[in-house]
Amino acid sequence: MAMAQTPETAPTHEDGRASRRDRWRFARRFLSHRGAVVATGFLGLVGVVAVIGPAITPHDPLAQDLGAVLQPPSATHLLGTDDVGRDLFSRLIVATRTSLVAVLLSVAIGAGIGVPLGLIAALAQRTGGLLMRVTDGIMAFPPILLAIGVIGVLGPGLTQAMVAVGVVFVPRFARLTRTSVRHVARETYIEASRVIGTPLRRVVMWHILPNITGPIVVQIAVASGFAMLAEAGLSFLGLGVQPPDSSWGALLGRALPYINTAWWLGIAPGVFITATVLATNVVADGIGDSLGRETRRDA
Amino acid sequence: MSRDILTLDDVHVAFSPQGLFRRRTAPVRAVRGVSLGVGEAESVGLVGESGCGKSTLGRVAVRLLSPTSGTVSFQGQAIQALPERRMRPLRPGLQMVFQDPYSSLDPSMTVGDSVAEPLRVHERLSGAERRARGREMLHLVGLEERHLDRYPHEFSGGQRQRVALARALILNPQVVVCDEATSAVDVSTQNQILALLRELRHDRGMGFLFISHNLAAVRHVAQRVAVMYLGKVVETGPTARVFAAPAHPYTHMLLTSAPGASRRGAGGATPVGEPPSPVNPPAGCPFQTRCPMVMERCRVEMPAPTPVDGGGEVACHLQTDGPHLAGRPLPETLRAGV
Amino acid sequence: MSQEAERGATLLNVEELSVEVLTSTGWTGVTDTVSFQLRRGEVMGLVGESGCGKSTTALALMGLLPKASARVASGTVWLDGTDLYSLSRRQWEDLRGDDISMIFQEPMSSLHPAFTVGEQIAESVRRHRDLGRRDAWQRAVALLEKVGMPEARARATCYPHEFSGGMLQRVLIAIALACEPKVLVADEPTTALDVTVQAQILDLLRSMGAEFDLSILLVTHDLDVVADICDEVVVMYAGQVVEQATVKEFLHAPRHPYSRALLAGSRPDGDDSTELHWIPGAPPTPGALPPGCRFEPRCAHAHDRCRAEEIALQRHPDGSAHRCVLDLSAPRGE
Repeated sequence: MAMAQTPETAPTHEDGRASRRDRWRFARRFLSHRGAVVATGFLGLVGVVAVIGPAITPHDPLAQDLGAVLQPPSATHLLGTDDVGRDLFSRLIVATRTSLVAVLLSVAIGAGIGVPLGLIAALAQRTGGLLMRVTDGIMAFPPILLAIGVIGVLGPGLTQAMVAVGVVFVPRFARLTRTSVRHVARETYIEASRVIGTPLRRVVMWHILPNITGPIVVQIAVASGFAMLAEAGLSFLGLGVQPPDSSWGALLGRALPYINTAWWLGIAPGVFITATVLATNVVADGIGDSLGRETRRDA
Repeated sequence: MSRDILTLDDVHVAFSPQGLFRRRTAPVRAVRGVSLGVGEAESVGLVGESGCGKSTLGRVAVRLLSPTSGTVSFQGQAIQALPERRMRPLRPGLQMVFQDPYSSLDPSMTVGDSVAEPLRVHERLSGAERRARGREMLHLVGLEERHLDRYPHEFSGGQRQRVALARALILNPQVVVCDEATSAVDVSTQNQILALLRELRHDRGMGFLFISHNLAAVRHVAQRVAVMYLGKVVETGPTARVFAAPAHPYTHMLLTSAPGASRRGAGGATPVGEPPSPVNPPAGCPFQTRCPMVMERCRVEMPAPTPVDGGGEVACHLQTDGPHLAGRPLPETLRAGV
Repeated sequence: MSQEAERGATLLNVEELSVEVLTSTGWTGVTDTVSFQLRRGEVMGLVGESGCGKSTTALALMGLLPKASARVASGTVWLDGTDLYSLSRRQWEDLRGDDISMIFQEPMSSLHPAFTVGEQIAESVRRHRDLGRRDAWQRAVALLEKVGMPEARARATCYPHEFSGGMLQRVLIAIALACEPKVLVADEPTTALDVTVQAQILDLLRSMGAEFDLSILLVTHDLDVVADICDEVVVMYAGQVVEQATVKEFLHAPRHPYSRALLAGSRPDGDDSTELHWIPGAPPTPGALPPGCRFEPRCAHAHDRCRAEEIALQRHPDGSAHRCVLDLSAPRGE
């Protein structure tokens, strides 16, 4: 599951009473977006494949058959074979997990560091300004270039690559969080909390975090799509996952030299990357719409 | 004034527009030397037009803002510079209700949780006890138990304002600052809230600082009134006296401006001008630019508060120099001008 | 207060206007067969609590209902003999601002922030009148002077954010009156203003009404404002007209229990008595109306008959009307 389970940083009640968020209203609205429901279903399927993948491959994804290289799709090899005769369908299934883990890792780093950073930046006036200037500096780099720079230091490899992508996400999450928090902090209910004497830590837990979940969840979905692409791009360049392991992006990269002789090799990984990115964005839109605030009931 | 629970003494508030590129801008002098007190079981009305500094003063009173100078004391303790940690034990006694019923409740919290928030901060109670107290408060403000588990968006503005009131009252405070608390609700809800405030004052001895531009509401709920104009209090006094015999030309203008059949009957009495900007208030009397009875002296010298027949004080040179207004028929000049 | 005898002919005739809005359960009626006639030179107040359908009615007769979420289900609006709902969109746009115009509670949101107020007034003049740029500008300045803008020539070159709320409302009135319309619809025009400024705007509306022989439909929740400026009152409750009367009748001898309860709550004459009155409960929501009289659950005079059947609006020979089995004005000695 790429993102369906990632959200909900909302704190639960100290006395564990039923959730404070209006989940039913959200669910009702979300279910009325047909596209978002279909996309969620697709992502769910991808998630299942990622988990049980190695158990359902028709062939050993690493078994080479030099007698049958670059085979077109057939009954035995549904998607054909690659340049060393491995079953592309099996490799695609196994690569799903790599791709998704990579996405989760980078988004977790981005949100895990960026959200608290943004929160601090919003609440501490002086340090906040400084932090934001630093993140501005990071954001000035093109993301892929920055990631390549990080890999230059850490060395190639999937984990390093995705850490690098995660670092790219940090300023974006920090910035969004800071803006959202500052927006919420202007609401009268925060002032009311101060008059009550609610300590800052509790104001954050009770009022601020639940009310910034919406934009952050949307950002997580958008970032997942981007991470998928970034992983593909870096692996395509050979900076990500290292052979014999594979990811969708690596499969696509390996298919490139044969685009004239065995063009079908790149189709399946390309379609899956595109479809997954599209699905995360559709889901992000659906979540964004469903979380929309009630409009005022004026006269 | 010694019996006052909440006292503001010579409070000044100036806002300097902050920012990298405009630190040099002149400060907004929102409040300029206001003294005010609220006693036990007393309701004090603070009236004035938007921008006169009354809301700023309300925020200073509950220490949401620190005054630039002057003192604010609650139960005899100076609170204007108290760190939040030492302020917290005093908070239950000093609560506030805000104007906007739409943004004063957290949309992600049930009404029950919003009302019980002060209990979670200040009292150690079980969830069930909190719920019982919340239910009790909702009953008090005219809502029902079934409303506890609903979210604010399911409520009308009037109902939300009742919830906000319940939250402010749940700790049984000694003083509640109501900042335009009934301005955004229908008359029916307003009157219900006003009646409740009166009842709380009588039965529990609560004090209220009732800030409003709505003269009718203030008249219903306040025993004493202070009239603010451009950051200064221009007149104070018992509500009955101020409404029946205003001593300051501004108070008089406010009262005669209130729409209604009587204003229509009086005919041709349109007030002049609008309040000047608080960035650069005029020297001397703040009301000089609109006052129909302005004198040379008003342009240079700020009039000092002077006692008025019938109670209270007025800051107007007419009181010492001219035909003062209170308790007398209005002079011709004022009638024609206002 | 024009002379009683010289009440003009009907100018705006709203007939059985029903508006529906789109809710989660489908199209739901928010106004029910609203009818009233606005005469030439008359100021009519359309009053009621929030959510009673008064603003919706005003928007409907301006043709300004949001298309996606609201529609006129039935009814007609006649303006000086023209059936407004038979007009094409183009014709209606020509008419709006020329024969009938509107001002709102928040003047800021009705103005474009990037153009000077003079340009915006001149623009609306040129939209309807064949005037050159220079003439239109002169007219804009003249209009600003007319609505009491100090230093009108200089202020015409200022942008909306440079004005106070009261001055912006004057600008909007200038735009609304630019083409000397017959009818001005004013939706809560003074609600956001301070009391002294409110008095200024009410007096301005009064004097403009007299000068342009303008009919004003004033939508407001404030009975003090009604007492101040209106000649005639239409009271709405839960989407229906429940009473229509002259302002004098309404203030002193209301027929409908709702009118009486509203008046008791606000007391426009400045009664000193300290008792506070309110109407218990809340207005019904559209789609969940009580079976009989819509005010019955909150009414102090309700009895069985009110629950059994819908109450029809009774028209009286003097032009007034009320929707109740009782007539509270009848027993004077009460």
